Amino acid sequence: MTAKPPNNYWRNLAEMWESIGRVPLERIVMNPLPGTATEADVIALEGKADKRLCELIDGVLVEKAMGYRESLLAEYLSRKLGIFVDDHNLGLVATADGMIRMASRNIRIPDVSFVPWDNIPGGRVPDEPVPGIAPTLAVEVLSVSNTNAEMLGKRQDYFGSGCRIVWQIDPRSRTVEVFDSVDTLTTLTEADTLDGTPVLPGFTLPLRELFGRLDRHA
Amino acid sequence: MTAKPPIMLWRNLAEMWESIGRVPLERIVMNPLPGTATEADLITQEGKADKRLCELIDGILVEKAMGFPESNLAIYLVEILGPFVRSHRLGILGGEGGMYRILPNNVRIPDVSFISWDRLPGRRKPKQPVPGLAPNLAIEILSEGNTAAEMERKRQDYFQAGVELYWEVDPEDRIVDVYTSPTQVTRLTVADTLDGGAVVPGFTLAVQDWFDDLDQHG
Repeated sequence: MTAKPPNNYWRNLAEMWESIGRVPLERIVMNPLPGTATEADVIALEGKADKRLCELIDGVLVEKAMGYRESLLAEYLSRKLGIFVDDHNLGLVATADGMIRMASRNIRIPDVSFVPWDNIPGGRVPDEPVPGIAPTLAVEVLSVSNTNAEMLGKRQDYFGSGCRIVWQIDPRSRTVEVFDSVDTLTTLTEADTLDGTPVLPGFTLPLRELFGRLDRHA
Repeated sequence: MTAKPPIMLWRNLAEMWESIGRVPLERIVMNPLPGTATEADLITQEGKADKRLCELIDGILVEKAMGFPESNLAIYLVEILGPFVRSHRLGILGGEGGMYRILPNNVRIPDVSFISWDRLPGRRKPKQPVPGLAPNLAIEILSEGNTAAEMERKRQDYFQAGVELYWEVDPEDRIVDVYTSPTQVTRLTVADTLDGGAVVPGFTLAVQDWFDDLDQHG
């Protein structure tokens, strides 16, 4: 059997690797073959015994980079955001199992995301496993294996799908990059406070409090 | 369309890359998809306008690393070795387009190769584009894009397929490594003389003469 990629715009593997952001090759799934994967494959993977959380980028399944410390930060932030959003009944907050279909048809899995009710058809929790809804806030907690090119690709998908703010949290440098477009950002340090404006006006979280979660002990 | 590789050898791209010797990604063809290519694709590839000389390894088309000085060295050897094997009625030579299916799903193209009449079915020249044979002597002239791991895999495949003698030529350092098994190697320098051993009995070439050809000028 000879399989042709549906989108044969890659002449060689280097071009494919470039287009998905030069992620470590360990994170690129070979079955289904790169370039041929679909939404159904992403959903099937999730249900498997050796469950892996994968994003779908140009028909390539790319394993999401994860880590324990990253997960702690995402959990705390999602808890804080969830409480705020629920208190004001603004919309839905999802964590890193929440797969979202982007305008580009890629499937992304932000570590935390907020979608306002206005962006959800019928104003109800979607039925589909991978809804095509547009988060207005997407949060990514950086892992060691995330590359700059990969993060750029994510932001292009987020902003291309109606996102207004992306928070890129770096547990190692204890900074947060607040993007209001694909490539314009403000860098916050532990001395600063994260602010939900304009997407979640009124939401604030001092970064010392967030990163302090990593210093807790018994 | 979701294409499954015929044999699922690799869980991720890193494992595939490892198995073919970590060649530069630019040299790995994406169409047909890695893992699904066959000998037929190799021949089609050969006929294409953007013709690329590829080897087939585990269902992957891998472009052969090439360069002008290497090609020139190969021609010099053919000029010396060709008349020798012809006059002694030993066998025939293959050049840079001479593909051998040395193992199932494994097509290699030595820069120069010698196959004895004894090894050729009916003591006749093969008619098919990719004969299922292994040469007695294979010669590879290293190019910049060749990796050490790639050459190691190549040597293993050659000897497993029945190659008896293998010369690996390094134009940069002006050395010739003479292999009689994947691990038994004698390193020759410009002070030494290459000889055909039991494979091309009586053939000798001063290594100095061969590399001197690189310095020839008009």
